[in-house]
Amino acid sequence: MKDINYALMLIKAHKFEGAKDVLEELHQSDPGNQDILYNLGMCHTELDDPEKAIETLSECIRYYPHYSNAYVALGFAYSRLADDEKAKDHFLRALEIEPSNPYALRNLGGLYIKENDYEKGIQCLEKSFSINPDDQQAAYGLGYTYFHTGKLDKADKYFKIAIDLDKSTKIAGMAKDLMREIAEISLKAKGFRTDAMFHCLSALHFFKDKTSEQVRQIAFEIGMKGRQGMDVNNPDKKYTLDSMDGSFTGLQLVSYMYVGFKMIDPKLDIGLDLSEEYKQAIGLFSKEMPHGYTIH
Amino acid sequence: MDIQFIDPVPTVLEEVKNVTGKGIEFIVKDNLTTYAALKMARKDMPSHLIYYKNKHDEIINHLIVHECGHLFRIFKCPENQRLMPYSDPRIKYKALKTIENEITARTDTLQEDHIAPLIDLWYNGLIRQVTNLPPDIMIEKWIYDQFPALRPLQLKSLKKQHSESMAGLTETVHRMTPPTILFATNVMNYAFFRILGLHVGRNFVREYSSTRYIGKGKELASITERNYTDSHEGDNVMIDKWATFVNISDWFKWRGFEDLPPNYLQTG
Repeated sequence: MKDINYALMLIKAHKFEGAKDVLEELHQSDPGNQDILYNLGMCHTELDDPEKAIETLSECIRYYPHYSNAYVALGFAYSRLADDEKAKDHFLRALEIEPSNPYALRNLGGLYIKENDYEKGIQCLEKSFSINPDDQQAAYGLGYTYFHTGKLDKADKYFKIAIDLDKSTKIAGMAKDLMREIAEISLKAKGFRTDAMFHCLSALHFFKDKTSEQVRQIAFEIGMKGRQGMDVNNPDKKYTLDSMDGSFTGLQLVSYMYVGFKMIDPKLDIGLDLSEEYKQAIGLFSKEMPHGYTIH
Repeated sequence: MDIQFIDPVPTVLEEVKNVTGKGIEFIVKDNLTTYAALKMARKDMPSHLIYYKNKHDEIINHLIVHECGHLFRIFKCPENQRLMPYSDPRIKYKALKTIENEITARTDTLQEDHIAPLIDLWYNGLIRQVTNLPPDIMIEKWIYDQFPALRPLQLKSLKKQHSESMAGLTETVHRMTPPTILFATNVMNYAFFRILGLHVGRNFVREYSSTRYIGKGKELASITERNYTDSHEGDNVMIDKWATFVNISDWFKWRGFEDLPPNYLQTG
């Protein structure tokens, strides 16, 4: 005899197909069980069968008309069918039953953002996140909304939280990508960066006697560090590397990485633009003579 | 040194092929902490692997049947329902943070380069124990019931395991080990040896009678005997129950078998 605990373990491990099989078996012998119906409905949604999810979850609320999570799950299934109207109705119904249901708040927030009602969306997401600060989706949703409304500091903060909650998820990857965009925007907000140009020049000198493998190792290590977030505008924040001695500002490292990757593969798109600064640095680098004289 | 298989081992190996569709390849690996360890084949592997120590004795036959026991249990479970416990640096970090004060109290007299390996040993050892002992109970019961010819070797193997577990009751280990880990390991050992001792007709728990582990150990043994569904799914539910009972339920997570990283190894 299967055990619902095992189905829940499978769900937690994202093995929805297996969980569905176990729950369907359990449902046959216990058709009115709330947990079985709810989790089976969720599995159907995760397995891209929202119609079946709606059928199962509707049965759940017939038995349990005050089970707020079932309304949230129904709303989620309707949103998968692109029926945002019905989705919203069900999220709102869930909140009537349980005003602090963080999942209803999060999903409703997502719908408001989809409708470009950012104020309401942020209100819902902030409330959801305050109730459930381990919710990576809520953290990402907040980061995403703040990013698209130009509040980059707040966006950065929530993306960092989302990444810290679980680095292994697709959401964490998406958060890292947007953090890189924020870094890029921050970097170029001040126009041509003379300081970056000098860092590029310093990198050119540093890499000049290194093998391609050494350059690659350093550039990759900086790249990996950058994925965790690097502050390019704060000269007081220092970072260290395994492959280079000393401590460096974020802008220094980003400049070194740029130069390093340019040396390995000039056509590679690194995801940030220091092309003007690099071009100027190359110009200065090539003018220098071994004895240190410059030619005018 | 090649393995000298005794009856019924060849029959069991043949049955593995019938049930799982893959045979077993035996590979010498001398740095194992046990005589044998299993790596169950994933979809893209042609066979299961059993690593074994070159220098071994006859109890390796019992261990091979034991590893085959794991294979039978897992393969009886539908592929989309197979779960394996796993850990990663983040899970490990969070786990160790919960006993940070206990670790600090025990490591401040150690040399710096001994600390990290010791912490690793505590963590990995405990995870290996909680994720292996419940299914091991069922497998050993199965071996005792199905293969009477292996009982002498099984008893020798259990006695060896028992003597190794007695280290957990010594004064030195008590002084050195964080209380959470010490308590968990001894309670689990008690439950394991109590259940199996009763099954094979031996008292393996005499040494625990005047210790503080006996109460909780009996409770865990009782939970195990009452609630164990004899299957891979049942194993995993019981592992979770054991982990909750000894307060280490967040020290590992579950993942689909095919989703594990390539360097997984099932030891047993």
